[in-house]
Amino acid sequence: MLRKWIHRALKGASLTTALFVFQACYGTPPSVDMMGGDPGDVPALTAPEDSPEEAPSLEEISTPADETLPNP
Amino acid sequence: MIGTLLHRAFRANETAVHELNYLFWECTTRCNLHCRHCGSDCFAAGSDADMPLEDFLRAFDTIPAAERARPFTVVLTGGEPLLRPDLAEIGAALRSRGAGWGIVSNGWLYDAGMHQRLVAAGLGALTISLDGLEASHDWMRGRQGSFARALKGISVAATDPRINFDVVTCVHRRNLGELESLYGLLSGIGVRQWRIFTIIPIGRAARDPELQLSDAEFRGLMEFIKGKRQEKGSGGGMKVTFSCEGYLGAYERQVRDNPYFCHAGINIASVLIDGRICACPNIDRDAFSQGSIYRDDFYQVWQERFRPFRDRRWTRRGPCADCKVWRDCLGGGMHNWHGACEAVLNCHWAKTLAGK
Repeated sequence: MLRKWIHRALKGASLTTALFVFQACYGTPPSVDMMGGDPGDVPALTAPEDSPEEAPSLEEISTPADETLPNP
Repeated sequence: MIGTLLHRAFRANETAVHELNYLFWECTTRCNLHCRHCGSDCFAAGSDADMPLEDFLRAFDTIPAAERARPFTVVLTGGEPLLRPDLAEIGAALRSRGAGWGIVSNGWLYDAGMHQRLVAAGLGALTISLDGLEASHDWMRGRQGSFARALKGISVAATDPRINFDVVTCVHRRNLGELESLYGLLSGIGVRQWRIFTIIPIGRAARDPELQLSDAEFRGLMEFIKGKRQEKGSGGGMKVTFSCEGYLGAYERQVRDNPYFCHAGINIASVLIDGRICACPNIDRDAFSQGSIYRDDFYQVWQERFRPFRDRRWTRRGPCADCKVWRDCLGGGMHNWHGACEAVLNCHWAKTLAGK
């Protein structure tokens, strides 16, 4: 349990709905009773674009296209 | 500068956490209109059968209950979601799972009776499209009478405090000169929020140059929104906002509530009509789908895949390769990358600068 709390504190928590209520481009505003959320803990401050390692190509990080999909 | 750094840190945190709190369900591709700009390329009959509710719920139920307890919105999209006969059942099922839900609609079928039924089923959000005054809107939507129907739906929904409602307008060359009149019309019937888009050249829109704004026209649009927001700040009526479709440089704080941030794949996912898992439905699904609900565990896909969305360094190509604002733009919205993804389709920042 303690490890889980430490992990959560280091990983941070989402602030999106607490600080920046957003809506997707082609979506609706958030459902009216869903505004607001929990404040975040210690945020992560590094992003992939800050990483010194070489950026992966799109092909390296893409999910392979499905050749066939199972019938629904 | 401090604000920029704080926003980058916020964005980094959100990407690392990638809390899912907004889920599109492309519940049908059937449609009762034939819009010129439809990126879904929908048809009246629909090229795919409607996804059964139980299939979507099976995917939805892979999201742990503790995650669903947070603010969470499911947005029904299409096609035209109002063509589904089981909306009340859908709404009840989502509510029982602790999710709020909304619909994006062309408004043709939205009347007082529909409104009552959907609100009774727990509808919490609604967006209706209006793409100009009557002639322009009907031209855009490909069916005479579309404007009247949409306006009726807007009038029904606009003043109901039980739902979070807005109107969206796609701006192009034909309706750019109508924005002032539209503002008066919408604010006069009680609309409080108006969102404005431009049209990216995908789907049917790719073949229609009238739908694309020139750089000067785009800046004119920015000035219009900026002006209306300044009026609002001094006690004016309806809030006008530009969409989240791209980075706008100096206009960022003038036409939006929050700095640019494409949340696709970071907070937003979608279940598409054929079961594929992606982010916003207007994103190239052939290039960017991450799995299928008919083969994969939806939530596991959300947690473990979506790398192109969460690490956008791959967008450093074409004009973005050495762009000085890339760290704030990250290649723009994901829906601006299609096919071979050799270059972004629209650079909004460049549009704001052209001619200066």
